Amino acid sequence: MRKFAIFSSVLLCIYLDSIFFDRINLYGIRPDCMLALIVVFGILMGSLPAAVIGTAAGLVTDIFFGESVGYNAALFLILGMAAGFFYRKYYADNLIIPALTAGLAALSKELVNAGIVFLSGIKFSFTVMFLRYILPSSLMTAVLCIIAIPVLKPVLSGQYKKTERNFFRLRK
Amino acid sequence: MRNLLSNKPLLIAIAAVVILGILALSSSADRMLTWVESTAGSVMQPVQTFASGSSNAIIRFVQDLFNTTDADKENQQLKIRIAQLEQYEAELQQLKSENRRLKELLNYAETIGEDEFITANVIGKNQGVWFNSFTLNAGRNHGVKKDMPVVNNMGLVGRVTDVGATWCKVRGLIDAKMNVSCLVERTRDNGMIRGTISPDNKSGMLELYYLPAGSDLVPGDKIITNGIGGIYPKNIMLGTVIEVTRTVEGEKTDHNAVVQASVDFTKLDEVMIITGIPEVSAAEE
Repeated sequence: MRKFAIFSSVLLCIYLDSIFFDRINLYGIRPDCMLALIVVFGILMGSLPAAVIGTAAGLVTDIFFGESVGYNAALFLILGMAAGFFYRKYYADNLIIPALTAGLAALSKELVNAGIVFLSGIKFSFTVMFLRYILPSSLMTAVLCIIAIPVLKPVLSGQYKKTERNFFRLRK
Repeated sequence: MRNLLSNKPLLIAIAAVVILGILALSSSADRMLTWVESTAGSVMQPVQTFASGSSNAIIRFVQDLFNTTDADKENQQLKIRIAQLEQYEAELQQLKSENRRLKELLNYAETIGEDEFITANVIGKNQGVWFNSFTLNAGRNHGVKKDMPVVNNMGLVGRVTDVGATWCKVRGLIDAKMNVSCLVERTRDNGMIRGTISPDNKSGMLELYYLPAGSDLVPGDKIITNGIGGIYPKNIMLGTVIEVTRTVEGEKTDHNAVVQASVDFTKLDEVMIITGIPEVSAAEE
């Protein structure tokens, strides 16, 4: 069930990123659903699973839609690993930390994108892009994370129970 | 070995090194798609085609419903009947719209002369505004090759950058990395046109630059391809000048004019890949 949930949520995010949010034009603002999902995986499952899933999902995105193969995979690997630092380190009902993590991760990704574009010699107004695209998109990614956590938590929380059962069995 | 596998930071570091290696290899401009990428893309292509088609239908239906709903709220049966009729109307409008687009595409196909072409649908776009590329449901099996131009009835859409078995990736004209040799239709002055980066990159703003010093450019001038370089055929519409930025002679400006792309990148469904340009075929041989 958990594997199915992970697989279908990754597919859903590919659809949302590549088709849905492209067709629904929200003043040019597009949240990064896949990034929000990887952060959710990191917070609910830990660094390693989030990094592995992030790398795989990033590679698929790169091959089919990306600018160069490995770019999103590397970003999702790092951001998934970073989100995993909050694994089991906050109260279960707290949605602020996941949202903040997703928002900061999206902000970092967009700033890296801006840096790459700037270094490749393309001119643009950073202030305009930051205020009209980077900041709103990061906020929307944070909101998506808040929506995704309650949906995915019941499915992924099985991992907590299993780990705790094994732990108590060892103690006996 | 087990110790190595349980060392998570080491595993993640190894994965990072492998990905960076792939990234370095894939950064080469002349790189061809590997069979792994091609196969993965081919697996995703039917799913994307279905998802894209379904989304279009649903979004058009909802839009049409919002645009046309004026039902009598006092009569439930009439409401249902009206809703049904509206649904039929929405379907009819969708079919009419599709028919009109295809007719326009066919008319355009007749005007591009002896160039061979294949039609394809847009099935997905990349996330964000920094890069503008999209995926089409036609690939190597249909005769698509790298660097082939992509057009629609409005003008130049972009250029094929990667080709899989049943899909290909296209860099859009409005991508900031895109440079196309062009000329002003009225004055016949040659120049270059490139994409821009803006918060709403679908607005279709382009920059025209490298025009001759004495060029007499006015808003409303049409910009077309000049065929130099052999990738794009001559006389394909690129856009219309909306603002001339070089006002004082000798003043250093980055670009000569702002151009509105003729293609509406917010409504990009069917496109044509021109497969039979003599220059492209010759360059590959």
